[in-house]
Amino acid sequence: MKKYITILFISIFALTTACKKDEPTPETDQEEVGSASITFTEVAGEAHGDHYHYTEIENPEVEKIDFTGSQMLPPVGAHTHLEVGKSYRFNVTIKDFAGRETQQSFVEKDDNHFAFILNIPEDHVFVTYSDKKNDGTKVKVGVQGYITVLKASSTFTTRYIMRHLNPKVKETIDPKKDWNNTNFTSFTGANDLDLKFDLHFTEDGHGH
Amino acid sequence: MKTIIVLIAQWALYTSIFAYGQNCNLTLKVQLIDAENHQPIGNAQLYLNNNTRPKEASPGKYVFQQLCKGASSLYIDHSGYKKKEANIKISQDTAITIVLKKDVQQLEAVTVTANAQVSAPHTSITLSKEQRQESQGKNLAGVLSEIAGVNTLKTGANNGKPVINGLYGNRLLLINHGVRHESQQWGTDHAPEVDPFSAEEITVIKSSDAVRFGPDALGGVIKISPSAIVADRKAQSSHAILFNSNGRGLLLNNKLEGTVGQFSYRAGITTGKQGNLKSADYYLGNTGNEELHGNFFASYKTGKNTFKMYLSHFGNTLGVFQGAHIGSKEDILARIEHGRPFEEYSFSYKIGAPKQRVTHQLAKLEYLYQLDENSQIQAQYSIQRNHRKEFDLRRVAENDVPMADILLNTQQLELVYSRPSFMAGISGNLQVNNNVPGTGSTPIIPNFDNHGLGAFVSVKVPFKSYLLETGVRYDYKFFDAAGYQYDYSKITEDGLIPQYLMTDRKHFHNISGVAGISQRVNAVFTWKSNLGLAWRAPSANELYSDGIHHGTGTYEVGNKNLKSEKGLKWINSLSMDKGFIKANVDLFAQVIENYIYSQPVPDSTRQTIRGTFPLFQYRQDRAFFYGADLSTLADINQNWQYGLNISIVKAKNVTKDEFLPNIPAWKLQQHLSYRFAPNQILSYIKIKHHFQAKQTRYEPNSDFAAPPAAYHLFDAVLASSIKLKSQRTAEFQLAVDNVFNEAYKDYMDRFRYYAHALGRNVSLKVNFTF
Repeated sequence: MKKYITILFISIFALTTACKKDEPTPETDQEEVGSASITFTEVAGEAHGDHYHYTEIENPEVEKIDFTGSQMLPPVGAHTHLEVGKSYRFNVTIKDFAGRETQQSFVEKDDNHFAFILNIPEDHVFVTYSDKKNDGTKVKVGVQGYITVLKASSTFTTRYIMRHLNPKVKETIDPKKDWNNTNFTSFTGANDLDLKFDLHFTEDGHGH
Repeated sequence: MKTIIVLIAQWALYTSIFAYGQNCNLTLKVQLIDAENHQPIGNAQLYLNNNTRPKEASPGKYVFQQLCKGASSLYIDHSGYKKKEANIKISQDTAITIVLKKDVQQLEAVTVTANAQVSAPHTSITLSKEQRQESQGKNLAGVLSEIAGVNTLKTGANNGKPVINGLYGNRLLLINHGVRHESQQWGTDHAPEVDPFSAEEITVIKSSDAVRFGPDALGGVIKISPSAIVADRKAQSSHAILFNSNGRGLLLNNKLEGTVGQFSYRAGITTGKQGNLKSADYYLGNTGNEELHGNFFASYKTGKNTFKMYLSHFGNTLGVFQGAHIGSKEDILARIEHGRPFEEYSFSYKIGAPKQRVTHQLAKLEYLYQLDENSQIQAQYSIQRNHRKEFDLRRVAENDVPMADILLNTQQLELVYSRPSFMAGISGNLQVNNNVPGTGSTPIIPNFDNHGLGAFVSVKVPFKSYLLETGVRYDYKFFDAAGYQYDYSKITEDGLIPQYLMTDRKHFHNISGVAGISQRVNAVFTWKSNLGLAWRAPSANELYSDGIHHGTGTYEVGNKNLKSEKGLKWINSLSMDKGFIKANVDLFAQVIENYIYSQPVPDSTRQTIRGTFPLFQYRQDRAFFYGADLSTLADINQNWQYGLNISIVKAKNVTKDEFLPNIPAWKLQQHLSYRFAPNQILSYIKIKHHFQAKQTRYEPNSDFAAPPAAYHLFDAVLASSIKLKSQRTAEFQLAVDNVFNEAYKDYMDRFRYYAHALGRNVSLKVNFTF
């Protein structure tokens, strides 16, 4: 019996000498976005029935909002003016944990990404998305789009939500109608970005 | 419609009582029970007048058929028990109960594990073969839910963990083939990784039985044990095939066992696949399940030495309902308001993200040395490897990169000396938890070492009609954790939160104990009283978690200052055995000092780039649990049987005078069955009724949604057993769960926010033994 017990203890000693946890490895949270910005660049917009044609102009007016920090807030007091009657191209730039631009990854995965822009007063703007995949395919995601301001408004807080949708949910979205759908939670998924910033639609030349 | 069914069932029950009369083909039912633990004794040899053999209808229940009036002699033989002879006068259908005493001469064959189980003052229930067959194909929590006092905490239709008298997770010990099961128990969506097909005997001990298996059995112990291997055949195979209509699932299990000389073996393999499950009205997207389990047991006996080896592998890929994938509190509230998923899903076997992939491997070596006819020494070493990967819908990385990849290795060693009335031992465990790098996500719990040492002694003393038991145990635990976390107190000027290396060491030690008494009041009643003191060191997630728990949509923050929980549980049981009726009532009360729970921090949220998450922090207060469990089984006559279980548990945070969350409301389970004569093709028909009351004891605004309404469920079972050629049997079972396709939500289901529970399921089970 002693023989068996000795063998047992030797075996166990050999097995247990390496019983120590690994030194932890810091993980950079790839799920978290490092920084984001939204840029409004003035373009020429020409109405064609129920839609607009947009063309680039020289020396355009550019408004840029940067979102940084853990809560992705714009600078205190940041306040963006867009003029009534003008059209703007908006571009969302997203940088990952390493400072690399990643917004195109949303476009490439267009089947489960869609942006909702909330709290803009009804009938004050015309919005269309104009995203393009690397292979040139036109898709509707909302990383790039155009906005034409139709009416003036007082300052309001806009939410830009990039929704990471569950499989097949994107098929149920109508980009023309749903880009400002306040019931966006009914499109099941999670938020990749939830940005809040102040907008003010002003008449020509009016500011603060 | 349900009312009509209930009325018909009751009419059938009452008319059968009064219509029953004597017939010429008399029946003698014999039930054998153990004198100490009052458990049924199966596999006994019974002879009437030296030639007539009975059929064992269920473990411990034997039925002689087609008997004539007159006096007969009954002879009973069972290894491990003293032989018994009795003279019986049969004038009508008769049911008798015979109590057998253990034969200490035969205790060689009784393992130490079994010795612990026979401690009479414990309140324990072993599932019958019939119950296990009816729950074949369900997960362990589903199998155990047949027992009074046991509920299930679910995370969707596939995923559940058992709840005993209101406690679950780390407060329950799961003893699998004599080894403490160690896994990532902390998440509500982390179910025990056990193949129910490998469990021939499943016993629930409701007492705080902390002495034998470890100090943290505050809620109780679940024991999964193998049955005795067939001793008179070199090879016997059994095969089970199970088809479920809901999920279109197929489950196969094959076992081979036998004995060659002193060598015995058993090998089993289970494989299964199931697609999307369906509630009463709609499919639940991504709720498929794939599993592959295997196990091998071998035993060799030479002289006074017995060697045993057990190997098992559990592998499971489990889809997590996609409609429960949430981004923030805003999402949860929107889905609760809608009451059901926004999307319509279809049937598919495909399992996508979110999903869990879990493997659990166990290897056990056991050595027994028989010192003399009454005492033995047991040495047992085991190693377990639990690997859990959780996949989510990723934002940057591909979905096949896990969000969590956790590896838990546990080694245990114990040495135990035992005699029938005495047991002493020491045990030690080394546990290492590592997060596998490369997930691109900061782990919610750190890497840690969790080592422990324990020593125990327990004594049983028979005194007149009493059996006294007392035991004491001392444990020391060492905890060493290290992991990267965010430091919210040092946010930089540009708003970034730096990470830091969190390190911490903790030492816990305490005494646990048990004291019990049982008394056979008379031939009918037995009283048991058990007082158990148990304690539990806080787990890694309670101490150190820091991050979004994707399963619950909450931001969880641990508390490094938590102390050990200490629980004192008192159970009083009164059991009655009046031959045709058996009943048991458990009354329990338990106070837990420093009860650890997760609570929302009022008006506090964690804002992230992806939205706002409610902030939950671990706290501890004094908690008080109390309640009662009733189980009754009545053989109304030779054909009709009625069973009734009632489970009541109430719990309160005494410190704050608030109700505790995740405590089940009272439930009632009853069944009425008709048993056919042994020579018939059909064995029995059973109708089951389950009533779950609405939980009214909850704190408003403490949860995203108020508890759902009460509900009734009806199940039906049609079973058949056919004897084929020598030693070959075929058993068939056709069962319908949720016969009326009731649409319901259960308070103990974390996914009730998003969807209804399962709808109707028709299952066909076939078991062959060759």
